[in-house]
Amino acid sequence: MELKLQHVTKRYGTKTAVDDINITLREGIYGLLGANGAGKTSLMRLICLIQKRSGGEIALDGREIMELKEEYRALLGYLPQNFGYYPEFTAWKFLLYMSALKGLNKHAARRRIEELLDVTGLSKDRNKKIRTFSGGMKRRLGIAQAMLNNPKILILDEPTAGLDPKERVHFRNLISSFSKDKIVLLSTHIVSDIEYIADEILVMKEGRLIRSGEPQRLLGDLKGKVWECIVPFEKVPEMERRFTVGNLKNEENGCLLRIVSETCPVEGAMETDPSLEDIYLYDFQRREEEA
Amino acid sequence: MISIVGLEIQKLFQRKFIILLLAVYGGILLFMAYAGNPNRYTPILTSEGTVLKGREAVEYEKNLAEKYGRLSDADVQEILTENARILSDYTDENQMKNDVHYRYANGFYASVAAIFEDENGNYNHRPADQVYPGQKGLLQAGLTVGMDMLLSYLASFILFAALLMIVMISPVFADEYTSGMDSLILSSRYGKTRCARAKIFASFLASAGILAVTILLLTAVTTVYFGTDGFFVDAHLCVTGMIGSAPYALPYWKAIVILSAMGFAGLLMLTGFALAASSLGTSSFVSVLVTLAFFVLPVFLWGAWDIPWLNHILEMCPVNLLSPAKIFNLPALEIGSREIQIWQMGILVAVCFTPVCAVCSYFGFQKHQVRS
Repeated sequence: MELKLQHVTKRYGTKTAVDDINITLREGIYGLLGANGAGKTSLMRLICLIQKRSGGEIALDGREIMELKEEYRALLGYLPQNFGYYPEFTAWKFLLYMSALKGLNKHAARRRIEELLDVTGLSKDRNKKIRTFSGGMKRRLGIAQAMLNNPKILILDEPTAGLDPKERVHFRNLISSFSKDKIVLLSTHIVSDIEYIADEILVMKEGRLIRSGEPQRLLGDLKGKVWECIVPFEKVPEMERRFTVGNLKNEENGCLLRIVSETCPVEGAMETDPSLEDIYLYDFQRREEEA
Repeated sequence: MISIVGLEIQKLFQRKFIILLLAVYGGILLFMAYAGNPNRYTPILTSEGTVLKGREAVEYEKNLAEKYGRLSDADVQEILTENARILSDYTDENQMKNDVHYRYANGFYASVAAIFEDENGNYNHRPADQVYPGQKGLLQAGLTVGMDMLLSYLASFILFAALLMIVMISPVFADEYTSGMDSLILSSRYGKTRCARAKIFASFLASAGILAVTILLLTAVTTVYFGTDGFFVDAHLCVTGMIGSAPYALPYWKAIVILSAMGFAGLLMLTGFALAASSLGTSSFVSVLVTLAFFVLPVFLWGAWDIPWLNHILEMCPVNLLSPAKIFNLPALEIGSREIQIWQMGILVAVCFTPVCAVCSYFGFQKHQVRS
């Protein structure tokens, strides 16, 4: 299965939210990173056919998805960033409604709903109204509805927003187990959500795809550009002005800084292994310098 | 599809505000049904000056009316003379002056007087066979209190139902936009197709259902209270003047059928418009306002300017279709060599307008661009 995006563009008036995106998605987990306003949600909406493209093509196995219509949407599972629900519906009823929209027959729907409520830890809350749910519970319900039809293409927009660390780990494992023979596109601000499970990372900025590749390859690109050093406390503001500081930790003899820089920032700085977060910071710093 | 329709109907009826409105609607319906109880019928004066109340009064009036059968000129003059005599012999001028209950000895006399007396209470010499244009034969008299009650209640409740529908239907699509459910629905397999159709179907079903239940309930209550008396009586004798001089033969049963048909036509047109406004709008509040404007404005605009074609268009708007005064009293439209009554035109317009709105709402929802 192959979902190919070619020159995909979305404009809102004079603002370009998605700018000439070219990418091919195959089975696996894709982590989509980017700041607020980078175009991640717009891109996902274009893939889900809930917004009209300004240009370009999106094809599934060579066929334009707009022409596939129901056939394509039958393969989709989508969890939007702002998860909508009916407050007066119970979890069970809501999933039953979504099942009907996704074309599951009643028996299949009931079985699948039971399964997903169990997997998302909502079994005992099935008959409670959604308006009584916590933020995390609503999110889990959203994940459940996205997976109802066992989609081949799963689009998750900030799926772990509102989840505590334990829930995020649980979710990560869930996605991993689910992703065999599927395309999973997952956007997040929390790098650790995708660091361990993503097969490929896509970094967006200002509508453009500025970097993409396997995590190890991307990390390899940043080898020799991430440093750690201890500086006196009074020097910290100056360091923050001059360099991209990824982390700052107060210690007894000074402040431990993690810096992303092409060259050694200060005497005594030690080179360290880069992380995905460093890639993010490096790209944004570099683009700002180019600008 | 059936399961989605069922769920959409549940969504329509489960909002707290709608439940409250339905409770109020039902409460008023029950209250009005109680108020129409023949035991509570207005007291009447018999020819001997006896005051009768409740069921006794109804029975007396029924026998009196049926004694006349078809109303000739002589019958009319006899009725008006007898009415004047009873009032003069058994009431005083002070009672008669300002209280309409004392101007007529009973409801039957009042219904005859409504046609054959002028504003000063004098016989207007209108021929009994020329009450309405094109009249053939004489008016059929009979007990009209039950049918009058049914017509009045129908006219009122159709309006209440219309207001209820505006509030109930306007959020059908718009609420999905504001709640964020549009993303989930439109990205699902059947969201743009079956779900849209189910919402439209459920809305029409709800509108028609509420009105049908209302009509059935009111008809049942009237039948329990008064039987089928008045069914074949000429509705031009309607004491409220609602029928006026409708330019065609109109027994009460036909008036009820026409009023009910207009109720359905108007309500379905309104439902269609509300769906279109909901689908193409941005919020429920905006769709309610727009639909309310569509419903109310024609009342004020009709006749505001001397533009015949505009007035004809406004006559076909739901609020005017739900108005008995307009349905029964406006002259027929002449199209070529044919005459088409207002109610016939209303049905035709509803049959054309409603599907167009439904289609607009369907495609409006399908093409909706998720923003929130």
